[in-house]
Amino acid sequence: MSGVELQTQAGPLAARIDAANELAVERLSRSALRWIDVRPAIEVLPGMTRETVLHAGPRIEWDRMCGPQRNGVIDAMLYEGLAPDESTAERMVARGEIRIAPCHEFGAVGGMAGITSASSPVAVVLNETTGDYGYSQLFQGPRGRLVSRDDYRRESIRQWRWLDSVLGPTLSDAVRARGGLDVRNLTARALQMGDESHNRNSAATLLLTGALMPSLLDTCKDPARLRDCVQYLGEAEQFALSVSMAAGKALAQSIRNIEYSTVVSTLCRNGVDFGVRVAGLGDAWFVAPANRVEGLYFSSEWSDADAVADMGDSAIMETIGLGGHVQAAAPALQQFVHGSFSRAVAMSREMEQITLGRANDLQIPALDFAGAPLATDIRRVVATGITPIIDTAIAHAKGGVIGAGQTRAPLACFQQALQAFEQRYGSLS
Amino acid sequence: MSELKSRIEQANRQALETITGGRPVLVDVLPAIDCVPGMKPNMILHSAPKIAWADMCGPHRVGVIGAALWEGLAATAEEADAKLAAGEILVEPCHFHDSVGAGAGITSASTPMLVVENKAFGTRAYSCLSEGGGLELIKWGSYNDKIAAHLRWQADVLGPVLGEAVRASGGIDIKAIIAKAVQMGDECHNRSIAATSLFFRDLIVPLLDTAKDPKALRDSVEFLTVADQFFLHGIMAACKASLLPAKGLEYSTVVTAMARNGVEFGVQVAGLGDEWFTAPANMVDGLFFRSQWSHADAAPDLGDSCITETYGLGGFIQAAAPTVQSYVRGNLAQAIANTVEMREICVGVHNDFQIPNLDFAGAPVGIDIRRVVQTGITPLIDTAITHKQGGLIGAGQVRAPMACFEKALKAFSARYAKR
Repeated sequence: MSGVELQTQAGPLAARIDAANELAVERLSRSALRWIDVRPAIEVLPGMTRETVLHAGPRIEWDRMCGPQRNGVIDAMLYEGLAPDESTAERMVARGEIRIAPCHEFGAVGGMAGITSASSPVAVVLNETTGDYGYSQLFQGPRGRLVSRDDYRRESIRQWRWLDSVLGPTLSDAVRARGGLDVRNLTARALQMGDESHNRNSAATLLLTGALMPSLLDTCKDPARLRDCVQYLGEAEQFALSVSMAAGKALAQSIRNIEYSTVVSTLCRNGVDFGVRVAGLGDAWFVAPANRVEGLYFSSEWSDADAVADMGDSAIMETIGLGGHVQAAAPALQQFVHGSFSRAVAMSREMEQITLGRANDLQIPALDFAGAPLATDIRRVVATGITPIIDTAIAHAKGGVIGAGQTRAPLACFQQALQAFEQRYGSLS
Repeated sequence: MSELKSRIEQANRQALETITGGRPVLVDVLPAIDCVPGMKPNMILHSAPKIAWADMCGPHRVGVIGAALWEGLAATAEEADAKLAAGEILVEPCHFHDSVGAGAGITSASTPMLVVENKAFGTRAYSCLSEGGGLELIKWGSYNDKIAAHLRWQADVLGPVLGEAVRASGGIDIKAIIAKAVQMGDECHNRSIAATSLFFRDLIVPLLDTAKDPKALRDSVEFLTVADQFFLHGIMAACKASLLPAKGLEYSTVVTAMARNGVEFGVQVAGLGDEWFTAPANMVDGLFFRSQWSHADAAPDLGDSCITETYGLGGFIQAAAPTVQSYVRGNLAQAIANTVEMREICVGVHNDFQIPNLDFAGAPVGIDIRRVVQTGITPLIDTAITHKQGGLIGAGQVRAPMACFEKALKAFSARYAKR
């Protein structure tokens, strides 16, 4: 174990917790992950229906939802033909005719607003070691520059249409023809090429595109379509994040129900609240107000006044020990937090204090090839006051990505979780 | 400051500006006979410095004979040997023809060459294509039917496919690739994985747009995605193209070329024009890829690839690529220390190449022969290890021999001190 040694007295509870956590660490650090397909959400997400729209983060009432998510849900309803116009859509939601739920409760994750509807193409990643699946939608919000709500809706719908009719099927054919792609291996190489797999994914996207290219040539016989998709992959430097997130979910699913384990199984946010789940506490959400993101805006026209609070399921990356846990892998991100190389290393060292294990196959050169620190223990978070650091993008209140930086998970979530753990299993002190 | 010293300082500043101000762009891929200055049908180029056929190391001998057979200059190895001895087949360093060749550097008339133009000065430099990965390549001094067939495919298929795509692309900005690659774990000599991925990304759409034969396209793409260090040769040509404009800069003590031919190490200095200063090449310190190999099997340092160190990459920026430390059982601290050490012998830095692990300090560049001699610090080179009889057997690091710099400094004094 690394970091702080906790005062736990010997006894059957402590032993059970240790054994459960060991299992969680084993699953998080040693599972084989393979990207096997891209399919419409309705085909693969357990329990998905045409009248369901999913969002990032923990459960939240419609009235409390942030702008990007509310707008995203309405846009998705229009896209799916569930409503002819905005006001009808709003009425349908108010009448409870549409199920609005977290991606996480349907085996999926969604970046930023995370809006996932029936036709959304999702990357399908199989955890070959445990048989769990993880899914992630592919949509990436445009980088700012959109003046109005209508502009954003038009752009979203245009992109959704292209993703579900062009990129989704093209990738599906290529990935299947190739026999899938080893995501774990991809991540291991990308971490040695300046990615930390949350805010910086360019190496993974380059490697993934190269790996798929022969199969793309073999399976996509329409030259214009092929060119379109290849051009997109060349420009969308963050594309691999969707695949990485699906892989993260496939890992997290494998620890979603380990009795007695104090290991975090979910970290996510919806632009209003931050949600945590714990392996030993199953599907229970522990929720507190999300923090703001500290960082740099891509243009001087934006500032904190424009930004939404922390949003997205991409904190699944930190849940599996990447992103903020391995900032030292991506010193180029330091400029977004006015930091330095030594600060990035210190950040990883700090995460070692609240985690229980390492992914030995995911080595960070700048940390002398130490494995990524993973398996966040809620007891350590509460004991030390150190909360998970999350590298993340910053969203505009009206939609679009306008910056990048870092933020912390709120301590309150972990305090609540620890309380619930003790209520269920007994006192730890 | 004496007048000589101030002239030297001024010339070195200009050399630094010239070298770091280069804008190398890949503009074409063509057979050597069609683009390399002074190339002849009966000429085979090799890594510098100049060396007589009779004195060549094993990898060069195998590679040169291989090229002679491949080009049809001789029907058998014996015939090739005789023609080489008689001067009917010519051997010259790539460097004599504004080219660079990694390893044995074997380049002949039909070899497809990367054509790199330094847009800031109009100079061009050339390099053969990388054959890909593997221990047995002509560049490592091996030759057999399989190698010959692959070379044939590169000349007949890959070269033309790349040439069309590169021309259609309007040019691939190599400096921009290097700048990104050094922030993605490459030092651009022993590790050029990021650079190769970036090159592929820049080229893939032009490839799709221009390739007419589906099989040629498919095979070329397959090759490029597997040959994950392919772009080293492009980087080398870019380094050469960036250093060429500084050659002949009077009063400058900055190194414009370094190279090894498996027997000798050679250095060129800006203020001393075309002259090479040579001394016995050192043995490379590193790891062998198979337990059956050891230093007893190794040829001395070989290849023009230290043109990358001459330009401030490779061994000069080990801090950018901690993964390369595994070849010398080193660590990040050692890598950083080595980079800091190289600063001692350089006149400046590349503002365009920033090393994240050094809080984005610029890569040290512009080796000053005076500083090398004064400090006793010789350039550190990341490199491969070849077998005495040809073939790749390991990787590691090596120092340029002090004697080259001492000779160069002596020649510099002889030429300039009396003025």
